[in-house]
Amino acid sequence: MPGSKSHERYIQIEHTGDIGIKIFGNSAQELFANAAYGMFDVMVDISELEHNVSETIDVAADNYEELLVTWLTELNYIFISENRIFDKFEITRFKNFELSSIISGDTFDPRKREIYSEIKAITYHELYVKQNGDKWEAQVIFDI
Amino acid sequence: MSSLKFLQKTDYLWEIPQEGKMRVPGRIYASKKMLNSIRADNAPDQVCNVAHLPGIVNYSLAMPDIHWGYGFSIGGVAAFDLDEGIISPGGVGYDINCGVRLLKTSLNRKDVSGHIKKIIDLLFQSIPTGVGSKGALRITHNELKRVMLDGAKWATDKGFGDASNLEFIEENGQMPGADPATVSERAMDRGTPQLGTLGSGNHFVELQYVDKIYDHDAATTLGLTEDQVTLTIHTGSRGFGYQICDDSIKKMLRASEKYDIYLPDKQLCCAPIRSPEGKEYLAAMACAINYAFANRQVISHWACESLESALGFSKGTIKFQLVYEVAHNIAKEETHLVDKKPVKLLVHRKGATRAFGPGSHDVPEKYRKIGQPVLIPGDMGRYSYVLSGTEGAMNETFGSTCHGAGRLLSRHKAIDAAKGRSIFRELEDIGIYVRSTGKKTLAEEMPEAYKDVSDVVDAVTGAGISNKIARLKPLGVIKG
Repeated sequence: MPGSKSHERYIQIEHTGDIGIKIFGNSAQELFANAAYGMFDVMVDISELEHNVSETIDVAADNYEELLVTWLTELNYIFISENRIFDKFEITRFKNFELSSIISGDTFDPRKREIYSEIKAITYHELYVKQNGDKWEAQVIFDI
Repeated sequence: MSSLKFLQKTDYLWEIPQEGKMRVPGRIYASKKMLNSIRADNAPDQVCNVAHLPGIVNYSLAMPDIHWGYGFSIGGVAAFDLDEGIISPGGVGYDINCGVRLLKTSLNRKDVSGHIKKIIDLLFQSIPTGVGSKGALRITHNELKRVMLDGAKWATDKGFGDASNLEFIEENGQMPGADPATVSERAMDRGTPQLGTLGSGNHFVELQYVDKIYDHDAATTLGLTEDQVTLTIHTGSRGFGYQICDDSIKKMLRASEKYDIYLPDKQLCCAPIRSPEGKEYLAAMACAINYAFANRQVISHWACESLESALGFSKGTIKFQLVYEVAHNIAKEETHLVDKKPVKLLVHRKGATRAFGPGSHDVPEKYRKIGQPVLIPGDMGRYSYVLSGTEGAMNETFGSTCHGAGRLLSRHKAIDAAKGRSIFRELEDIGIYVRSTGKKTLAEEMPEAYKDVSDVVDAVTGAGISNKIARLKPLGVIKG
């Protein structure tokens, strides 16, 4: 479950059937990295994760909202298809709604770690990304 | 709290008047007591949002188990004119053709008493459950294409169960119009390892007995008697369906712009039914529908084998018969009366069940005089219901009714409420043995997280859109 130490990165929001997170960052890059962290944190136990695997991810979209959904969808797909979980997201390029990142984490071992929720998809429902000076905030709801 | 205006039409029906850009009024089926909790959610606003979509006919409808969804509410029903209307993947949901099947057995409650733990343990062993569970079936992409086209028949052809059961599945377990060429590689990659898996969340296999019969004639037609042992399976199209929905939503966002469709919420994105984008989604959706039909057929075969083996019987000793199988996340072309004339419509049901009345040719001949059986699972601590469709449903709701209890607590609140308690033990104390992969799933799914399904059933029967036949009580459950 999301611990108090992660509160500055994101908070979980209440919805009857699904799970949503509100994400914070001091830059767009940080916001996107925190969103990825938040998604894995509500999905699976990522405490004290070793960094034995890393991957490069490139995604692109037409606006920030779509970029956020595309980015999280890609990461969720990697979890599902490759059975890997991540807690470190270094955004190496962020321009014109294109994002490149090096993500680090470990292979998921169900004997050691609990899965909290299966995320079927990242939805567009009540989705937003907004900037107020150097403060960025976003909201995304997962269908679980 | 929703600030919308609700006009009481009957004891169980409330209308939200057409306002602003709404094309039709909204209608919610619920008792007065239920309406208060429904209003606390944003779901009625979602009923209004759906009323904005082009080509919607008569009303944007919601059943009493309505709760907040994304885009369309869960419990929503909306019918669209084939020429003017739209198809929206959000009106079907991510778990395309999530559904319920009920099997009756030749066993009596006494025959399984003392063996529940063994049966449930064996069910849990033989049916893969949990997040991202992978099946014992390892099929290729080519085989998956057969599944997409043939549905439940693929499974019976492979020896999973009896083909004589297929007529008791909606669409006979095989949705026409499927085109595997519309399905992405990614969906196929997610679909191949998950065929024959239950998944997580509210999906389950439950061992039950018939505890009460309300309509003896209808129960006789269905072959249900008091104390008879039954099995209910609730699952859908797994990652295959989720990916098809996800892929389609991206395309539909573009299509909504292209066709200049006003969307009060992006998740309602859609395309005209007859547009290339609309046709493509319908063909891909049919593939996922068939996948789910096959999935339930395979799981049901394993469930039957487990039951026999747990009781030490040889194969074929217990007589299993499929009572019926319903889909509750689906869009289908159907003919309904609009202004007393038969019109072909595309009916979206998201967390709602088809409930065709007596005499309908889409109901198996054996059941035609009583109407289509409707299966309404409740939470795992209380009971489930067998209902049937009515003439009232045909006249008012495009032959639709509720699909379940509906959540009362968010998953987060349910986990909080379960802290320091053993849900497993609490259920065991009332005679229900549960196995689940995740402790968290059990907390999220505990009985008090759900509305009492009998309130939902009373509302749909009170409104005349369903008829109550029987109630089933759980003996044991496997969850994801």
